[in-house]
Amino acid sequence: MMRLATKEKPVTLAVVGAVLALTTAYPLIRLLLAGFFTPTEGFTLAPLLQVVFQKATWTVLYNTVVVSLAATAISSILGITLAWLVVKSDLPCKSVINIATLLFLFLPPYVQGLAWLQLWGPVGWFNQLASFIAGKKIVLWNVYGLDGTILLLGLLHYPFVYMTTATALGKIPPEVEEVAFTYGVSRSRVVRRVTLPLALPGIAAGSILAFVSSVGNFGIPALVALPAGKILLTTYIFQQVVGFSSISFARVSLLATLGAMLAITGMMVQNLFLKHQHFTVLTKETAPLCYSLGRVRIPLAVFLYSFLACATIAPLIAMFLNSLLPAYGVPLSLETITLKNYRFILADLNATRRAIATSFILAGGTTLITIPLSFVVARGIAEKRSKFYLWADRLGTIAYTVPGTVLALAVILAWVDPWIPLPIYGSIVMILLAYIARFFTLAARNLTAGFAQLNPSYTEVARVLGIRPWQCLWKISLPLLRPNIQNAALLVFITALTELTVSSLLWISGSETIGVTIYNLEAAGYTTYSTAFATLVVLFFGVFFLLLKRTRLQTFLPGR
Amino acid sequence: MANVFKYGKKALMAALLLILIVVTSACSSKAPAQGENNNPGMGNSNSFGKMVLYTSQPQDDVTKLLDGFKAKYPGVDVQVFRSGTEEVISRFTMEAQGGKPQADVLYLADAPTFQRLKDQGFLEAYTSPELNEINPDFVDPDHMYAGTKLIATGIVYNTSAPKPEATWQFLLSEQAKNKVVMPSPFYSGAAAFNLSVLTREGFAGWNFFEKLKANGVQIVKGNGDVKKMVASGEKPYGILINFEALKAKKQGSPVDFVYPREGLPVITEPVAIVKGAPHLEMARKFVDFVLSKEGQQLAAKIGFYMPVRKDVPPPKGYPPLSEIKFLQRDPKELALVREDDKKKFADLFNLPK
Repeated sequence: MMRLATKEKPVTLAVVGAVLALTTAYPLIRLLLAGFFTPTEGFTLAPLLQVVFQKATWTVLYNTVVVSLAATAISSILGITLAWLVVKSDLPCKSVINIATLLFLFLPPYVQGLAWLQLWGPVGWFNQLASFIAGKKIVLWNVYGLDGTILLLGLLHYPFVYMTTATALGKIPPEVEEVAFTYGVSRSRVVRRVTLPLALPGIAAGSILAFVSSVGNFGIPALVALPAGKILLTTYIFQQVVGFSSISFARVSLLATLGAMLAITGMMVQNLFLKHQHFTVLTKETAPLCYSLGRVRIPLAVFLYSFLACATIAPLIAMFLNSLLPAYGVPLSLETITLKNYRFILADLNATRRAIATSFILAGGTTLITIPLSFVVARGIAEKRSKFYLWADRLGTIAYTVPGTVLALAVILAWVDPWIPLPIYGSIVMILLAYIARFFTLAARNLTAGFAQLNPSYTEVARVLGIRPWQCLWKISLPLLRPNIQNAALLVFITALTELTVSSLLWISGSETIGVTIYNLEAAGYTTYSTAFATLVVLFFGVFFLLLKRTRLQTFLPGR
Repeated sequence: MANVFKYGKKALMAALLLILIVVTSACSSKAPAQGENNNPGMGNSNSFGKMVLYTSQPQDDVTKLLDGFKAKYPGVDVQVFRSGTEEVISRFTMEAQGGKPQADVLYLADAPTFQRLKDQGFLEAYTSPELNEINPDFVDPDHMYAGTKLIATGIVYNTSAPKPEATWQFLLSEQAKNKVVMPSPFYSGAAAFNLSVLTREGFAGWNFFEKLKANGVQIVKGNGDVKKMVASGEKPYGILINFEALKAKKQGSPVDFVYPREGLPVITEPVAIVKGAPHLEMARKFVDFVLSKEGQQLAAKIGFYMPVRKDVPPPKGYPPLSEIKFLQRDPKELALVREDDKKKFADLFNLPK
């Protein structure tokens, strides 16, 4: 395609480059160097040789690849199906799916993991029910093992695929599919040959996000795979962190690099799929073509909604019921129910409020910075074919793929003895920088998907007509990309809000986050307190979003 | 419905505005909260300045302990970093290796961990006057660190299961087959400590862990997970620190604890001053306070800990000190063998090391 040479303003390039260098590149370089320089021995290749020649490294890596790919398959199938049903079918009560997806995003992984143990553990509710029906103790299935890990990771990350796919599907103009129908092409063929390929940028973005999230997830493998004797990359890395010796940190660095290479490979594979671009005409007001589901409409809805209810409401209920118990393991009955956990949490309202405020500041700040940042990067890749931005985008994924503990250690390493004399060590700014690095890719995936669907000829025409670049941005790019920007903002905001692993290493008095508060209660053995706190947090945001809806600031809930 | 996530341009602007408002209001509500910590000290003749504490004590216990400390030294501003033992140690090590340790006082983990920090030259010796009242077994001979409490590892059980015999051998019996859970030495420092101690005792040795494996023991991440699994009845028996078990029992969980007669490995959660601590005076006062009769009584009361001092009785629920046999080893030896023991354990249980 003919394209007009558009040059990025050097100022933009410098600002974006500087921010990414400071937040992402600099700590990661310090981390990588730590793999070759140990405090006791100076430059050494010993850790590298150890990692490469240890069989365990490759077993663990193999397990991680298999688990992550399988989990991504589950996330993708679930996410694409749900997105297609919501956008392109006449399924009743579609908003249930949106609410369920939001709940999934809201419940922090550590809460979900615990709830799943309660539901599907060897003495979980389902196995107790089965035992009750069978009249003897049986275990139908239990969540421990790689199968449970795959299932949980798959479920945990489907919202990524759902959100990006739904957005991409919503942008496909009805005319395209109608034309195909007038040629007498069958419905399934239209879906396979027209609809899905057109939505590919969205699907690919969501799937890659699900993949890198699975590679980098620590909580689920620690909770579910470890008790079955299975170690994945993140849990393996944590073992090395606990080793404490100087060599073991070098190994942490090198193993994290392996994980990063895995993620970058994933990104490059994604690029292959997007070789042929799928521009769509973007019309704001036309509704996408809807298919009638016919007779399966109601049964399908019933099946789907009961499944989603099991997957989202059940953990919520498990969490809530736990928060009513005087102590973990006490059987639930009318006599044992207590509100003392809530009394405890509310008694120290100051700390609770402070945690929510800190998380809000961090999540808000991270959102406000990552969105413009990833916007420029995504535009650079799509409109200017910039190699710089392409690699900035790829490397930007690393901070999300390495375990949060490792990123936090890299940040400590970078700022306790900085090459750049910025006295931010120990302040909330340091956590903010770490968050920007970590969540950049969440925003970037959504926006690159948006730009991949955006026909560059629009802006080119505008430019030929002499419309100023900023007008062009305001009148064309921004409105057309609005759904992607919303998704990106939502994802970054919520994930940052409930973040745990990074902040649990970087916080100091007065800057504890929501995640840290729950973790501190949990670690102190106050499981019932931590569930009460988590319930309050979910309630708080439930009310927050209800108010948003009330004030007609409708966000994600459709069906006005 | 054109788009699932659809809302107007105005709504988007409004949402952004809302975030801004919340952020700014949160900022302003936060600032005074921080100021509160500093205020009492300002202009006060009793001002004792600042101190930074790194610990893995439960948040609630730290807060109450510091309340007691602040009552004694009004106006002192103590900054706390509290996290899991592994997180605290790795952050401290990273800072110390960077040449800028941020902490004045470390208060966590076990003697071998502190031995290693001592060997790396990160600790500062301090002979607290309170050391006289503490069993020298729990204090570093060079006074670089001192134990603050006694946390013993034994057998926890769910009260709906038969009470186990008070011996480690019970865990190898037919009755306990496939019913035992233990924390992983790879994730829990306490578990790594116990591994090194038990494998060096005549009654246990590596043989004990081989038999445990043959008896179908399940390995989970940490002590917290063991407690939860035993409390929920998922596994009726577990290897756990007494403090977790007794605290859960006190809260009402259906668990209890037995003290094996062969003896129990004991962890002391030492306190130490960091070399080059910027607030040395205050750090010394804090160590004195933690080891003092008053501080130990407070810890026993609020945290339900077994005190390390001879003159402070343990809280209700603990057996008298004289009835428990503690297993001890030289921290120097334990610090050296820990990594090797973990490797052997990994080989035994077929785990990656």
